[in-house]
Amino acid sequence: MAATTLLLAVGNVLRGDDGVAARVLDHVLDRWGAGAGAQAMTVHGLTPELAEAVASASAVVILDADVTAATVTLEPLPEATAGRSASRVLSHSLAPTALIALARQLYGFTGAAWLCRLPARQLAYGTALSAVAEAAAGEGARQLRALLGSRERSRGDEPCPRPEES
Amino acid sequence: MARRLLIDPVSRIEGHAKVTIELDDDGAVRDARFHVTEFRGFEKLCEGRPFEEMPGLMARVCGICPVSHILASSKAGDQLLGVDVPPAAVAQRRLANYAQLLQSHALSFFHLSGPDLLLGFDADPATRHIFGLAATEPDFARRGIRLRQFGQRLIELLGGRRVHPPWSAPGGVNQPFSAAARDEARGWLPEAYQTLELARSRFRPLLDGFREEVDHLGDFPSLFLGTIGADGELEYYDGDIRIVDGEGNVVADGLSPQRYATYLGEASECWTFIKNPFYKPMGYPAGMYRVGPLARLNVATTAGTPRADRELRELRHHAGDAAGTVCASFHYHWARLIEMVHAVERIEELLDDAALLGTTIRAKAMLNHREGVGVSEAPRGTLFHHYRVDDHGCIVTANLLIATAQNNLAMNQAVKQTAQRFVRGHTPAEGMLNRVEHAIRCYDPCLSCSTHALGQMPLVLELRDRQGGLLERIARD
Repeated sequence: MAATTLLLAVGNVLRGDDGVAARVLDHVLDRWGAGAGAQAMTVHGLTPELAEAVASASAVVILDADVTAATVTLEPLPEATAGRSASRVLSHSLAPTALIALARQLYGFTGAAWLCRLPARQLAYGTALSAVAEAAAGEGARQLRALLGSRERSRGDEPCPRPEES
Repeated sequence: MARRLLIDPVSRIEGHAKVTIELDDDGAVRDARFHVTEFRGFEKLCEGRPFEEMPGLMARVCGICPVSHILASSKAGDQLLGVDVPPAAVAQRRLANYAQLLQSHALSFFHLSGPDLLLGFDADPATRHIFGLAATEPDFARRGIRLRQFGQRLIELLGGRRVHPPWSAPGGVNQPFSAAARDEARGWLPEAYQTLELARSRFRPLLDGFREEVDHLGDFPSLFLGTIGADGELEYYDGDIRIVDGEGNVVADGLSPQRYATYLGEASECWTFIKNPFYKPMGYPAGMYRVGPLARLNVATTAGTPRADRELRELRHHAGDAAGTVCASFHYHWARLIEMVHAVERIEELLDDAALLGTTIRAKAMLNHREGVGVSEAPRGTLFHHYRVDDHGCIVTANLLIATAQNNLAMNQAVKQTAQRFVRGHTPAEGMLNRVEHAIRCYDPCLSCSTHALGQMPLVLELRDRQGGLLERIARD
C-alpha cells in the first residue's frame, strides 16, 4: 500500500454547486500542489471499482457537495453499517461509507477515511458556483490543506506551504 | 376492503420508480403497475442547438451508458452530413460499444442482481447486497469489479475519460487509437475470459433453484426486436431490424432502422412519465415488444463468435421452446452473461484488426440532409436518436427512443405476473416484494435515460386502499 492520501472529489462540474468539490481540488493543486503524499481524482459518482483505488492508498478524503450543510466540515467517516447501506449501495453509485466499507471488505483497506461536506445551494446547469459554494471551496481547501499538512508532518515529510491568510 | 401495495421507490435500478400493487378483499393481486415518476425532457433541451454539439449533449443523458448515446447521436450526425465514416472510426466506435456493453452488464450481473442470485431472494435484506456478496463470494465480487474496470478502461483509452468521453462526433472520431493503447487492452483479455468462465460456472448450477422465479418473474410471449447482421448474427453498431414473436416466428425482417417511425409507435399513459413504444401493425398495447440482451439473442440466428455461440446453444436448449425462443424475463441475466462473452470475443477481434489503428478518422462535409436517424444497440436494447435540423444545422426536433422505454410494457406485465404469483395477503413478506422488484431488475432499467432522470432513494412500501388512503407504511433504508 502506497503512503498516499487519495483525494476523491465527487460531483458534476456542469451542474453548478455540484462541482464545488472539484473546485476545492483546483484550489489545493493550483496553489500548493498535491505533493508526493496525495493523489487527486474527480469523479461523477462513487462506483464500486473505486474501491480498489481507495485500497491502494493509505488514507482517503471524499469531498462532496451537500445541500443540507450550513458549513464546511471535514470529519472522519463512520464505519458503514451493512443494513443501512443495503438499498442505497446497489444503485449504480455508492454512498461514501459504502465505498470505504467495500474497500475494507474486498481489498483489505485499513487506512483512515474522511468526508468533507461542502455547502451547495444551486444545482442548475452551468459551471458557475454560488457565493456560498465559492466560499465553501476556499474554506474546504484550507481545511484539506491543513489535514494533508498534518499527515505529512506525522510521516516526517517536509511540510507543505501553509495556505495564505486571507 | 380492496387495498393497494406501493413499493416506492424500487431499489437497485437507476432513477426513480415505484410499483403499485392493488389487492382485492382477499389479499390477492388485482393489478400491478410500474410507474416512472421523474421527467427530464432532454429532447426539448436540444432544440436550437447545432447538431455537431449533439453527441456531447446526449452523453449527458446518462452516466451509465453515455457511449451508447454518443454513438447513436454521432450516427444521426453522419446522416445529416451524408458521409461514409472512415473504417478506423467505425472500428473505434464498435470497440467502444462493446466496452460499454461489457462494463454495464458487469455491473448489472455481478453487483445489482448478483446478491439475489447468489444469496437468494429470501436472504435477510440486511445482508442481501454487495457487502453480503463480498463477505460470502469475495472473489466473485472482486472479479466483477475488474471486468467493469476493463470496459471502462477501454472507453478511457479510446475517448480520454471513462464517463462522457468527448471523442466521437458526426463524421467519425477525434483521435486515432494508439498501438500502446491496443496492447494495454489486449493485456486485459485473459482475465476477462477467466472471469466470465467463473461467472458461468457459478451461475448455471443456480438455475435449478430458481424454477419458480424463471416461470413466474415475467414469463410470457411477446415480440422481440433487435438489429442483426447480414448473416443473422448479433450486430450492435449497424444492421437491420428483425422482429420475432414468442414462438420464434419472424414477424418482420430487414426493416431499416432509419424508418423506425413507420413501424414503431409511441403511446403515453397518465400514470407514468415513460413512453410506451409498440409495434404499429399490431396496435397498442398488443404490439408490446421487448429489446435488450434476451431480445437480441432471440432475434439473432447466431451469436457469430464461438464461445458465445456455445453458450447460446445451451440457453436455447435449456430454456427455449421448440424454436429456441426464450420468453422468461429471468433469463435476461443469462443473456447478459452470453453478451459479455460475445463482447470480449469481439473486442479481441477488433484489437487484432489493422483498421483500428488507421489515422484517417473523420469525414468532413457541410450539412447535406435535414433529417438523420442514428441507431445502435445499447446495453439495455435498441437505441434510436432522430434529429431534424434547419438550414443552419440547428435542431428543430429531436426524438429519443430509449431501450428501457421499449421494455416498459413488458416490465409492467412482468410486475403483474410476479405479483400475482408471489404476493399473498395485505402484509407480504419482504422476499415476495423483492421478487417483484427483481422482475424489473431483470431488464436492468435505466430510468435516467428513459425519462431522463437522476437520483436514488431508500425503499418505501405503502399499503393503500383502493381510494389511495394510506393503511400501512414499511420503510427500508
